[in-house]
Amino acid sequence: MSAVFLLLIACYSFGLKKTMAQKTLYGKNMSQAQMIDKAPELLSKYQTELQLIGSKIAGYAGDWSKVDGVFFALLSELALKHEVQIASLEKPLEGSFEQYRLKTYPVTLKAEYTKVLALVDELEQDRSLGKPVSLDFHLEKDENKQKVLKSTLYYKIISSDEK
Amino acid sequence: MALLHKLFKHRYSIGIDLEFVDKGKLKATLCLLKNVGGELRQIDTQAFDSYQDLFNYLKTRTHTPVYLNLRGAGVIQHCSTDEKNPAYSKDLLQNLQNLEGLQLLAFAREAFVISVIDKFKAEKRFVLGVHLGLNIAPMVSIIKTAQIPVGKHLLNIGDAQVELREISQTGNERIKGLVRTVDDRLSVSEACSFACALSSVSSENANLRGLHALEENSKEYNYQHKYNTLLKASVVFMLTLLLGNYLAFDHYFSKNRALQQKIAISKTELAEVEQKKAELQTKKQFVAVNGLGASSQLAFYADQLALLLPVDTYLESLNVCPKQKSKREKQIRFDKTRIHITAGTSDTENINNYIEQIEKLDWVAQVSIASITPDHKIDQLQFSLILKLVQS
Repeated sequence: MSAVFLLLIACYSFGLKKTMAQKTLYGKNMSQAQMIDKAPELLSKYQTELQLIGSKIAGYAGDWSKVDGVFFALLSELALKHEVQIASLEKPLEGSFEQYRLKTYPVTLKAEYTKVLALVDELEQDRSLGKPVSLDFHLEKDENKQKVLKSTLYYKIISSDEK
Repeated sequence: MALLHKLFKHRYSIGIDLEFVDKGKLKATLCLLKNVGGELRQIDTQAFDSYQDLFNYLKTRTHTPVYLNLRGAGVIQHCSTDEKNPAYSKDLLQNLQNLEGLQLLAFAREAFVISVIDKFKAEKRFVLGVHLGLNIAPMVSIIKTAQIPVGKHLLNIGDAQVELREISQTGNERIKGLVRTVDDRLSVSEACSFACALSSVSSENANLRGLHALEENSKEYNYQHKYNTLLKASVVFMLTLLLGNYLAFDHYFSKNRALQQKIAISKTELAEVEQKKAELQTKKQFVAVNGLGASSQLAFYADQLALLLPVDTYLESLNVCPKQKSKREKQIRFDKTRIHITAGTSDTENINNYIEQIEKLDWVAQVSIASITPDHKIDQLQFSLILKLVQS
């Protein structure tokens, strides 16, 4: 019986295993062949989707070296308009994702709740530069140990051009 | 079970009539039967005058069961119409056959029978049954007429009647027995070997009871027979499997070759599709990570949550899409799916009311309480909520 068992193992190793490998390869080849048949259709579909996504990204199209100045100008203008005090403006956090460049500006604002909301709302409406990505309201004690409302806004700008 | 029974059933059987003539001579008559769908057919009949010739013939039929009939010197044959059996030693092996009221008795020493069985065993042939003396009972129904000498008597069979008469002492001629069946003429040896071969169908015919060597042979033969049948079946199964496998391999191999040729021709086209697909995936991920798909609604969320605050409840902190703390990643990330609220109130009822109001908002998927802690200095409860936003 051990001879039969050994024969079975030999059958599997030298026969069935190779056939199974061919069958797996056939499955892969078939999917590739189907992809070839659908290639023109797929190319057209992917191209359309890429265009759609490109329009969604629609980042800052201007000179990237001057983007800090553009943002500060916009923020100052809106802060003046809505009577919001810019408590601090930290150095932007820079990053990249694939071919895009990113800058995230942490801005600390000091003003009434509704006025900050009005400023943020207007920043959200203006899509030409970037968009606010996070807003944090919190109470802090000032030098007179009085609780004052402070808010931290993160504003992200993405370059529209590739590296 | 029926299939297994059919599989392990013997298809061939050999009956051998061994007549031990005086002066140590042997006359062996062999009959080979085949079972074809329940019908028995006589395939071959052979006569031998030595064990060696007999065993040479048996080499061509290695796995066929053998049934023996022993007659002549060494076997005492007794025939009578009386129901009383002669008193012989209990050490002797005996066979009794009843033939239409006639008692056919045969005796032999156990050592003699075993010596014959051992001769066959030495040639790796297993004797499954042994009969002693004249053996025609299994075929009596097909006998038309028969004249068989049994010692000093002559056994006459005709018109379904069995008659026993004494042979006259005056005649010097030795009477040769003859058996006429419906369609054949047989010598006594041929008739006995044929009847013996029938033992494969009904073992009652060759049942020397209490002979340990026969039981052992039978067990060993059955085991070997099953083993050989299984081995043959396994080999047939594997050959079929290999054949099927070869056909399948050939099928897939030729298909693959054709497909690979097609793929090789359109390789650049495929690469372009793959590249666009990868580009699309990357951009989709980028859009998802940076929340570019939908417009930012931070002000709207903060406004709505402030409006729903119950009386005697004030916000201490509100973090819409909080910054995620990750040391591994260089890039700053925000959790666009959550809002963290910390507020104070004088009554637990206010917390419940606030949660109920928030749950009604269609852009909130889930509200959970992160903590509720009492502030004894100002007699207030401070609570934290985590809101999970609906993903578009």
